[in-house]
Amino acid sequence: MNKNKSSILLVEGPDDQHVVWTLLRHHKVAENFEVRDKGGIDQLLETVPVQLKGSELRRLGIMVDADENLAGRWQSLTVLLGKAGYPELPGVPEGAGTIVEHEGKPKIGIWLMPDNRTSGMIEDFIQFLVPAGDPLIDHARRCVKGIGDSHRRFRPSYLSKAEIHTWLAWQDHPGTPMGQAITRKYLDADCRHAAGFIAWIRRLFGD
Amino acid sequence: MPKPIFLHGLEIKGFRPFAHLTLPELSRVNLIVGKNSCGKTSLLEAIQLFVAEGAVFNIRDLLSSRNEISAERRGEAEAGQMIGDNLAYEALFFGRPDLDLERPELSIASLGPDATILHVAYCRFIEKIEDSDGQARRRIIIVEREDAAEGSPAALQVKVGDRERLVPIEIVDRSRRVSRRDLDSPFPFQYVPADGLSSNDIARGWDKVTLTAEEGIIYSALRLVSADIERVAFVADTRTPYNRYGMTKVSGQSKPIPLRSLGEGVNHLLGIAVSLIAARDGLLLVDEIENGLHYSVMTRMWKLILDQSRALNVQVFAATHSLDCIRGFQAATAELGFGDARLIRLEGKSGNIEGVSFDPAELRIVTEEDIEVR
Repeated sequence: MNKNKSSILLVEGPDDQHVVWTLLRHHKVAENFEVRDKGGIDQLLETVPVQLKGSELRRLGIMVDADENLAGRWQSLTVLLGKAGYPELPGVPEGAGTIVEHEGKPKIGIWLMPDNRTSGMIEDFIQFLVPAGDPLIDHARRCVKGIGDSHRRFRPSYLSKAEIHTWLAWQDHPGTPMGQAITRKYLDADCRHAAGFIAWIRRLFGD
Repeated sequence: MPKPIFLHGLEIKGFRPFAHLTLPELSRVNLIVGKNSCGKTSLLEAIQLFVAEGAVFNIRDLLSSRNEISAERRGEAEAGQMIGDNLAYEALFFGRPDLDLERPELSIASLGPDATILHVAYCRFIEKIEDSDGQARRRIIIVEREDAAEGSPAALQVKVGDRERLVPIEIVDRSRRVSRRDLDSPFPFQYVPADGLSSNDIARGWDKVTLTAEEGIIYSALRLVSADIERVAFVADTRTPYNRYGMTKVSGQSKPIPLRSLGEGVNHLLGIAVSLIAARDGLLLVDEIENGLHYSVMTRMWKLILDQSRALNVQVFAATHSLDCIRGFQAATAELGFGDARLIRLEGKSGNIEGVSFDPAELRIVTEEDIEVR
């Protein structure tokens, strides 16, 4: 299959890809762009400057985890895009998702998971989609936090991953992946955070 | 022995479609891509003009190879004022200026170590004989536009570094037609045009390599397209003996067969191979390198060129339209771990042409991501 060469959303991994796909379907967003799984942050960042030199590229979305240091991630993107001919990124990411437009150059959108404001990752974004007042999420958080240091096998930065997957394990179909959890309506794809993300997608890829 | 030449970077102003083009980095092997009329051939021409230091034969060839014969100047020819051809000198300069009104200039400069600059300016001059202490001295005066006497002869002022010379266009017009494909070129570059070298040019190239160590390179190249080729010889055409053409012995065939009958690709590849060898310590320039060649040959062809560019110390500039050629180039650089190569896309509208460059690491991503680079 030929890849879409003009409009691409780069994401870090398959989970991100599936979450985006299901959100797009739920919000009936025209699929005029490709969601491409880059298999890791390093590969994704390495691809960006080369993609920007492609002769058919018109719109490029970059969706990455802020991870533990939102400011640091933003700084590295600023340097990367500065070298690629986009010197005017704002000092901090825009809360509604950053869009950069430059005369004669591809349009760029940047979304730092979970919300362009806080450090974290896609699992934190998914936690935002847990329906308000859900009784199990607090329980899941307490359980995970209750594991003593000597028994905890994941690194502290993966706390939100452990929490959301614990919560997912307690649904109708235990172990449902995040993307499908949207389809199965365990998660609220109409909540404020999901709508904000979709608005960014529409601003970037809508004609 | 001339000093080996290597262009580390290039800056072109006012030449053909380039108002101002800077290519800050060049590699040993450079593949040039871009849409039609983005100046791929013009870039190859600029390199030739620079390396030939604005030589008369080169200027005349740049113009006559593209049929740049002036319509206005035909009048002069009919009036019997013209000797030789009526070359359209405005075609050398950006925007084709009106030479009756303007005095255009162009410059082509190499960047980095050994940076040099070639300036070419169009002017008119008058010759004065002056008496200097009883001796008649000839003095050339460049006339400024305002007081340009009607009909004063035109010339190109050619400056390389601090050496300057005046080339009356009459001399260019009357100069011998020397093919750019001339393998005896006094300048360290070889040019293979899009339609390949002529049989005779290839024959002369062949004469230089036959029975030498380099002969093997030619056979390796030929066997890329036809594995059955055993031997090649150039023979005189019985009707016009100064014309020679290639014959080949193919395994399983008892009689020799004409090289041309093996397809257009064989001829193009042979032209590239003899030119590569003749370009030792200099530059090889190839237009539409993919012409007549099947896509399956591309990677192997590039591996051969990459290997030999190093062995023979040749810097290569090749232009292409073909995606298969680009993929073959990428695959060959990857397989050989050849880092001193790049792809350069010329893009933009006339006057604002820029170069976008991809190194081998970026080309790997281009292939993986299926990014359009043409």
